[in-house]
Formats: sequence, C-alpha cells, structure tokens
Amino acid sequence: MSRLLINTYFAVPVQFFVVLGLTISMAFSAQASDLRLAVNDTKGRISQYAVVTLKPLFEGNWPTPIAHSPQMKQQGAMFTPFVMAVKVNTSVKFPNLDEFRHQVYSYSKAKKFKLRLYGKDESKEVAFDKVGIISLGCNIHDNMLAYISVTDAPYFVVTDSAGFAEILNVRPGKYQLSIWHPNQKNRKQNFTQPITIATDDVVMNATLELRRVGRKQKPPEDGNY
Amino acid sequence: MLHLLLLSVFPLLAEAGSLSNEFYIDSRFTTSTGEPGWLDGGLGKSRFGGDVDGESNDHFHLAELAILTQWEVSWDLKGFLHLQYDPGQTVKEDVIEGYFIYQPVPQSDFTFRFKTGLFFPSISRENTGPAWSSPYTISSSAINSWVGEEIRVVGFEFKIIREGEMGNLAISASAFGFNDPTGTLLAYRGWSIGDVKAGARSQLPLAELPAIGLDSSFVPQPYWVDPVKEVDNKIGYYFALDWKSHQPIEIGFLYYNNRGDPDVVEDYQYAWGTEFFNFYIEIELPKKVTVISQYSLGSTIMGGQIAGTQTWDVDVDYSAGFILGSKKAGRYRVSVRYDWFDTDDNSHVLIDNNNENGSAVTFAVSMQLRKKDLLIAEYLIIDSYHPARTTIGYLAQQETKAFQMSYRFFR
Ligand SMILES: [Cu+2]
Repeated sequence: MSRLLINTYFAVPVQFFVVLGLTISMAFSAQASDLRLAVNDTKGRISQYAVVTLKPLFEGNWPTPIAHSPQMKQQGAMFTPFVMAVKVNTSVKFPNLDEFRHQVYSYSKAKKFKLRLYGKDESKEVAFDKVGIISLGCNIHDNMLAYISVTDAPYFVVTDSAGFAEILNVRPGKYQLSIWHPNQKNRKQNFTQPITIATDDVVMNATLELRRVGRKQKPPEDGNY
Repeated sequence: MLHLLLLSVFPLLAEAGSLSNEFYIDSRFTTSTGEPGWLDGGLGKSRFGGDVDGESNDHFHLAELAILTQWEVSWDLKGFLHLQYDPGQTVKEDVIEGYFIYQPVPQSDFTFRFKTGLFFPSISRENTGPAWSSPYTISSSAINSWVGEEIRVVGFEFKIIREGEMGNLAISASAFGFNDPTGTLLAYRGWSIGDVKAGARSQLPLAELPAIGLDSSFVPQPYWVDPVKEVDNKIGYYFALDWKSHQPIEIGFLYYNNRGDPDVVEDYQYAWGTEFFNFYIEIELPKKVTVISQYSLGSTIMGGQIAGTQTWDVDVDYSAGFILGSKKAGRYRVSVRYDWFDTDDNSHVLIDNNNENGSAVTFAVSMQLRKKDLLIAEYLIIDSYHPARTTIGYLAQQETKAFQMSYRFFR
C-alpha cells in the first residue's frame, strides 16, 4: 500500500475553478460533478506529468469518448508532450515537424513498434490496443524520451505544469482513483485511493512518492541534432 | 590514400538525399607571448606561440576548415566523415575521422552499437561540438589536446548500453591498430594546451633536441611523429565503463593500451608502448552550470630495455587533470578551467631529460550568433618547467600568455 495522502476538502484554491465550477454545476447539477486534483510529491513540489485515472467500481454503460486524434509530435529533436494518456484502441499520430529524420521506437510490453519518420510533414499512426505504459525513444536522438499511458478507464487526464488535473462531469458513484507518474519510486505500484463522487464537486490533493531526480527529456545541445 | 578512397567511395555509394554535408570554418586572431610554439619548432605549449625573442606574436588567420559528411546508409547504419584543412600542419588536408556506426533499434533495455573506421576513443568530455571542437573554450585541456594530437584508432568498437531505473550503464570494448607512435609527443615535447587535430596522414613536428634526430647517437627518432600509423602489427585495445545517472551526474573510466612493441621501427617511426587510464566526472548543476573534471595517468616506453632494469631507453610516466566550470546564459557561455600536468622520466635523464610539470588557467566567453555560428574569446596562461628547453637555448621555466578570438562558422 502506498503511503499516499489524500486530503479531501471543499475549499476552492483558485478563482478560475470557482467560475468554471459554477458554470458546470449549474448545467449538470444532480447528475454529474467535477473532480479537481492537485498533485505534488512528498517534498511539496508540484508534480506535472502525473496520469490520473478514475475507474468505476460499479456497473454501467460507458460511451466511448469523443474521438480526437492525439498527436505525439517530434519537434526540435524532442517529443511533445512528454506524457500523454489515451483510451485503449486509440490511434496516436506521430507527426514530424523537424527537417530531419527520427526513428521512434518502443519495446514496452503493451506495444512494441518502430516508426521511421523521414522528414518534415511525414506523419504515421500507431493504434494502442493494450492497456499499459509505453515508453518512447528515438534511435537517432538519444535524448528523446516520452511516455504514453494507455488506459481502459472512462476518465483520465494528465496534470499540467501547475500540478493540476480536472475531470469534468463525473457520474456519481464509487471509483478507484489511480495516479501514475514516470518518476514514481515504486514503478509497479501506482497511487490508488477509492473515492465517492456525490452531487458536490470534489477538490483534493494527492501526494506521490517520486524519485528526487527522475528521467527527463533533455533538449539537444545547440547545433547538435 | 585513405582520404582519397573515402572521398570517392562515399558519394558513389550514396543515394540522393541520404548524404548531408556541413562546413565548419574557424577564423582566428591570436596574440601570444613566451617561447615559440611546438608547431614552430619550439617547446611551447600553445598552438600559436610567441616569437623567438619572446615578444608577442600576432596572427590573424584561418585555423581550420572542415567538411563533415553524414551518410545515412540505412536506418541502422550511418557513416561519418570528417575532413580537415589546417594550414598550420605539414600535411594540410587530412581525414580526422571516418567511420560507420551500426545501431539496430533496441528490442529491450539494451542498446548495441558497433563502430568501425578511424575514430577518437571517447575520452574527451570537452570536445562535443562540431568538428571535435569544444563549446567551452578554444584550447582544450592538456588531456584532450593530447587526444586530439595523438590518440586516433583504426579498428572496431562495440558498446552495450543498458537503460535502467537509475540511469544508463555502458560498457565499450575496442580492438584497434594504427596508433603505435602515440606517446612520442608526451615524451619529447610534453603536454600542450591547444586544439590541433591530427589525422590519418598527419606528421607533427618535434623540436630539434640534441637527444633525438636521425643522426643522434642515442635513439634515431626523427624530428617528427606520424601518430596514426601501424608499426609493429600488434593489435591494441581499450575498454570503458560509463555511468550516466538520471541525477545529472556522469562518471566513467577508460583504459587504453596500444600494446606497442618498443623495439620495432618502421619508416623511422617507433612503436611506443603506451597505456593510460582516463577518469571523468561531469555534473549538471542548477542554473545551467556544468562542472567537468578528467584525470589521466599512464606511461610510454620506446627503444631497448636497459640491461638489468625494468626501464627502457625512453621511459616516461605521465599524468594530467583538469577541472572546468561553465555557465550558460541564453546565447552566452562563460567557462573557466584549471589544468595541471606532469611527465616523469625514468631513464637516461642526464642526456635525455623528459621531465616536465606545469599548470594552466583558461578563461573563455562565447556568444552564439545567427544559426549555429559561435564567437568565442579565450585568455590562456600556461606555466611550465621543462628542463629539455635548456638544450635548445631557452630557460627551463616558461610562461605563455595568449589571447585568442575565434569565429566558428558552421552550416
Ligand atoms: Cu529523433
């Protein structure tokens, strides 16, 4: 069991949330509520790139989310975004915005592949058909690194640069909240916590045990592509 | 011959689009005081030294021009060719590096990399820029100046990199030839602080010391060295271990042994028995501050074994180290380096004194210009004690001060 700490409270820390929360709660009152989460590590540092998922602990029909085509870009010998979450069976586009080649690969269990991206505007797609974490590399640029989290949860989101995540219009009920971070200390053990969503919005805080310095995608040295 | 072969084979075999060329031009202004440089017949430590009378010597010149060709043969196989024009060398056009890398896409946490051709063993932590330049300073540290001048191998290198939770661990091993005369410069000239890069055909000068020369009664070493040459037909080797932590720290070591047979001579060039260790640590601190340190120690022998001893006619132990701190701020970079170096002669000191010790301080400021061009200025002070200087009319203790400004054009 991870030593993660959750404080549930109803204070809203940012004004922005008040406005947004009001709008949404007016529209969906009594049917759905929002979950807002601030993620940090045990030293109190903001945790960007945490993948937050909500899995229902009850039966129900879950419509497939609106199709969007997520993009894992190659730009300036870097992947963007560094962490992406997608629903299982989603096709992710790999557009190359650089003038030069990339050779993107994964040897993760959930999806092994290699993609050859010749040059600018070349784009390829990979369908991720298994749940799991995929780590991406490039065989030409050692510095390139990114993660795709493939999930079957109906709700998922990645924390932003302020360590915030929000999931809107969550159906009331009991859920398992799970958080994965590329630099979590115990790679096998995600942060988990059962939570109940009732008619009120939930604002909470999660503390992850992260490595002091984790794997990062470094920008390439100047002129050294 | 080698360069002609590579030059003609590269474009012929290449498909359109898989070849890319880059040009690197280093225009240099130098003013330096002290004894004449080692390329001008002296025992000076910098690439461009002072006048014979110790007066300052101003040069405005082309330091080098390089053509860097990358050839993507296939996704797993790449070729790289580095040609140089250096007007200050005896052989002006030369091949500095020319090799192929085969690296299949990883199927597990292990990456396998196979390299073959003419290349630098990965010793230098400074020379990471285009055409083996340093982004920190104009003149490399004593250790890496020597690597540029004398350490080049023709052979194979096999590297295994393991990606782990805490970082990457790499093991490399190499078998090579064509690096037998290595050690000559350290013994007869001592260390230097500069940026001379030898190539496949290079012939680098030695000062006309009474202890050497083809008609010397001691050992018939001519006043030059061909660093990239096979003499004894024995295979040398090196191996290295590198640890790159996800914490911003990298450490590693390399052991090199050319297994030179010190008795064998070909075309006036001895096979020097040269071996050394190199250790490094590199730390990325917050606010774009980098700290790099290297330390090398080794020995070189040449000629016959002296009866009843474990020493050879030329038998020199050597060591050198540096610590470099650098900070980047936008387009600017400021670097400071302290070097110390030493050679310790074990034989015939009375007639052929190859002892030396010294230190150097280097300050450099650089500015990134449009595209990939770099303007870099450096102030260098080298202090050294080298008794063999007295045999060619200089004081054993010398101080060289040099200011250099370089415009590095890179497209
Ligand atoms: Cu790439």
